[in-house]
Amino acid sequence: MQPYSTPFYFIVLGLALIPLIVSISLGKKMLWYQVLVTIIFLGWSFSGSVTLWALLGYGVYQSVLVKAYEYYRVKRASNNTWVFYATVLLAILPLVIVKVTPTVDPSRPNSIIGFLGISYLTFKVLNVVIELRDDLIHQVPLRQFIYFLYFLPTISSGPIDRYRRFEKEYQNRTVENYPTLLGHGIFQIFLGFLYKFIIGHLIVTYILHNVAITATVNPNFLTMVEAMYSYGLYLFFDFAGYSLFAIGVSNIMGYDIPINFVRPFAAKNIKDFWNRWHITLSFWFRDFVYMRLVKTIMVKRWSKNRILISNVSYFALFGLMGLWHGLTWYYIVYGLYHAVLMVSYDAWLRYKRRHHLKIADNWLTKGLSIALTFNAVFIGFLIFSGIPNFAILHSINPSNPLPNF
Amino acid sequence: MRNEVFDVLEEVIETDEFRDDLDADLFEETLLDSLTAIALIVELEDRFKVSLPPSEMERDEWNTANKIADRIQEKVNEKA
Repeated sequence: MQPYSTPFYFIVLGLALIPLIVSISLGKKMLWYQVLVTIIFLGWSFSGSVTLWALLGYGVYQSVLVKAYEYYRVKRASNNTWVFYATVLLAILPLVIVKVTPTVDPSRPNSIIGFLGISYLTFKVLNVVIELRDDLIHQVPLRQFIYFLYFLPTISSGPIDRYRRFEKEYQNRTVENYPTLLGHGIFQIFLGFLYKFIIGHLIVTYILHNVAITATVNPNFLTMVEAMYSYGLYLFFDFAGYSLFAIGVSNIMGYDIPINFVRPFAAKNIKDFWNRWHITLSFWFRDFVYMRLVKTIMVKRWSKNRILISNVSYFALFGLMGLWHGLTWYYIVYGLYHAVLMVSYDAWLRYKRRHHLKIADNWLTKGLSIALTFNAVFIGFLIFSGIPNFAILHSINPSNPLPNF
Repeated sequence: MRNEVFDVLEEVIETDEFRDDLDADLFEETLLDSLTAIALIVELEDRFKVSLPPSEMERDEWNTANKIADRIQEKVNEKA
């Protein structure tokens, strides 16, 4: 049973959370009960398959790694750059193996150490390692780390929480403003039902499924445009709906985890879009890839050209983000495409500044920039969907499989 | 000390507009972005011999000239 996949899952989860709601309302967080619910639901989601062992093995491996680095960094007070790089590499290693496996051996694409959500857990581990290095995290109590890592509501697809934020709530004896948080959480879950089970479901069943096949068999401008809009909208409602479930359940459990989407299609430019779309992922890459890379280049004085530094770092950020989705050409192209959009937008801003261009701020210009951003983003979704890839494979050999959304 | 911080800020963002209102949000005014924020961090680290990891610099604690000066003051005091 995949998390949040059926109404039955919600009914069982809802029942399991009732004792916790009562207890938190009475001022007790009942951490032992939270852990019990986590164990039972993880067992339910992953049992009967090798992935349960992969999930547990992953936790043991990363705990050992993080505790070792904590010992090195805090107890020994050492801070060698190569030890840090080695730790980061070891933290990424399981994910790399899982992502590379389908390319190495297409007949057995599922690595035995893989499980649903491994990439999201990897972000959390890296967050801890990097901030240990930066002296922002001074200790990582084992139980707290494990609960952070395996936090039930977000385990399979985020939002990606941050350790120092989580720690504060975890260590609080009571939950602040719980009635408000609880109400908010229930509302998020129902909004999620609307997004994922109604709108997303209708789009995929009645539109996207057919449109994707048509675009594959008969690729032309019109069929691709249809596929582009229906896939993009489906992706949003499905994933935003999923994120709402994760946030809602976290709220009910007394955790105010960060949001993932803020009306992304109202974005006025591409930077604005990335502040609104899959926010916890884009902020993770901004803080831990882009900003750190920019800083390293500046400190080491590899270049003094700020524009060059920024552009190189955008390509690193979005290239990695593309790779993270999987080792296929269209994910990588998707990442590079967004890097190009960001670099172009920055160039446009510089051009405006240099020529003292003042563009009127009215409904027309606003509408135009929103429409332009919307379509630029949807072209990205079309690449990301893999539908053009299906079309190419189909034109090479018509017996290649058709998309099945 | 505060003035030294402001001088560095002026050097990095190449304008003294921020001096009109030391509590104005520099990100909203587009005087600072991810890139110039890092340039500022690197410059401040160098000048005041403090350590400023990027992920510590939460935007809402680091978005006005006054707040930046406060943080640097704190960091310098911590070190002493």
